Amino acid sequence: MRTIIPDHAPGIGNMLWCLARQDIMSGMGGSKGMTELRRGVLGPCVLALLEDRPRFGLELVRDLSEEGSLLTSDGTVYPLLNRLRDSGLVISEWRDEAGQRPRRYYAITPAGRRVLAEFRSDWIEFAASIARVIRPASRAPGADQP
Amino acid sequence: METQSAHPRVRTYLAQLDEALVRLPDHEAAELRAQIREHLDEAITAEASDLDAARILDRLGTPDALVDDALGAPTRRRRLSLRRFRQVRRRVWIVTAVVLTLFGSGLGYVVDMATQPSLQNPGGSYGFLARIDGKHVNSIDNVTGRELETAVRPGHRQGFVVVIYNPSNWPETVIGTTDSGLKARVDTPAQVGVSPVNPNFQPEPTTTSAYTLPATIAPHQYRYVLLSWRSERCWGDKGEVRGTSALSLRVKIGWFTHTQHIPLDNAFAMRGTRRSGRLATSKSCALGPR
Repeated sequence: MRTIIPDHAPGIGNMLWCLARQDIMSGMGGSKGMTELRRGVLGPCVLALLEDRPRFGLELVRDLSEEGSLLTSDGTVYPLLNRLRDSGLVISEWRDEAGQRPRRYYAITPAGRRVLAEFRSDWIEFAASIARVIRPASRAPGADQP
Repeated sequence: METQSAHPRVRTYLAQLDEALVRLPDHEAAELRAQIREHLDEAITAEASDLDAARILDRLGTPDALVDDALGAPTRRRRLSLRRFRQVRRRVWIVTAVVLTLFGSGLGYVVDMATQPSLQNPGGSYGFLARIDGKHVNSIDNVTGRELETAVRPGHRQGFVVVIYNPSNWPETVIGTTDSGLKARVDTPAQVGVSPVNPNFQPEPTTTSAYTLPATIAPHQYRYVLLSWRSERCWGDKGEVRGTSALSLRVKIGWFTHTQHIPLDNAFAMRGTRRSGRLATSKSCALGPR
């Protein structure tokens, strides 16, 4: 089986893809491995999205869905948001903006920003390590050589 | 804005979610339900077809999966399961405590009812019922106490009145007597009656007082009690004395009825007279007492 890593810089979605493939290949079982992997990194992904601006639940779900296969199901986001809020990384507040339905917005807290910064640093390093280890044989050093 | 929670599929989903949410602590369940409802209100627009609604619900995940996510790590699930078990245990304990409390209270109630003190004659035995009997009273002090003695009037109604006190915390209802009165024959029971008059307010009972039966003596209250009988016609010779120093009453306290033997501070007695002696030796009495 050939595993292809995209050429562009390793974003969170790509790293997930990469690690998920690793789980599958190690025999953990594709579905379970992916699910566990997603669950593990979804929190930082949500924090990353909230870093720009507060978002409401469905907005978060849509943004995460656009990134690819980050969500096993849309509902996963809400228990996660609650856990992040209970951990003090996220706060929620109701906003009643003109012409729109009242919505519960989630915003990142200073503690959330610190955690995200730490994770981002660790993750990039970690993902790069993984990428180096599991890069395809065709790109391995010396692979081109006869 | 119109809510889409009224969509049949959404209603069904929320109902299933409610069932699944019982696995979560109450506040978490309420929070998650509100979030899911907001999500559905937002995602399923008024223009959404049934197919769109089905697709959105499908993407949301099953209620059980949602709750599994909310439960998170297996250790937390175990902790919550343990908490639920403890909650169940706590409920069982509460129910058990309530049942035991009720049972204990009921038992205490019954025991209290069954162990109340008997009626008492606190003193102040008033005397004989009929004035004529009262006029011929001899007060005799002997080793057992004072005895009030009067002449028997064979074939006439005689009796005595005593003050009875209810020392208990329960109403005690006098429903009869096991006394035969001061006579030989026991097949014609004496009559007992309780006056509604409180001796504290009417120091002298009258023969016209209404003595009723059954009659209830309220807790810590005093009443006049009359024991009366028709004296034996074939009483006996002059000087023959029969008396009693106790009153036996059938008394009901709550659910229990029992016989109380109430000692009297004065004994009451009848003594034979010349007339009773003549009657006793008459031909009719020679055949035996009627």
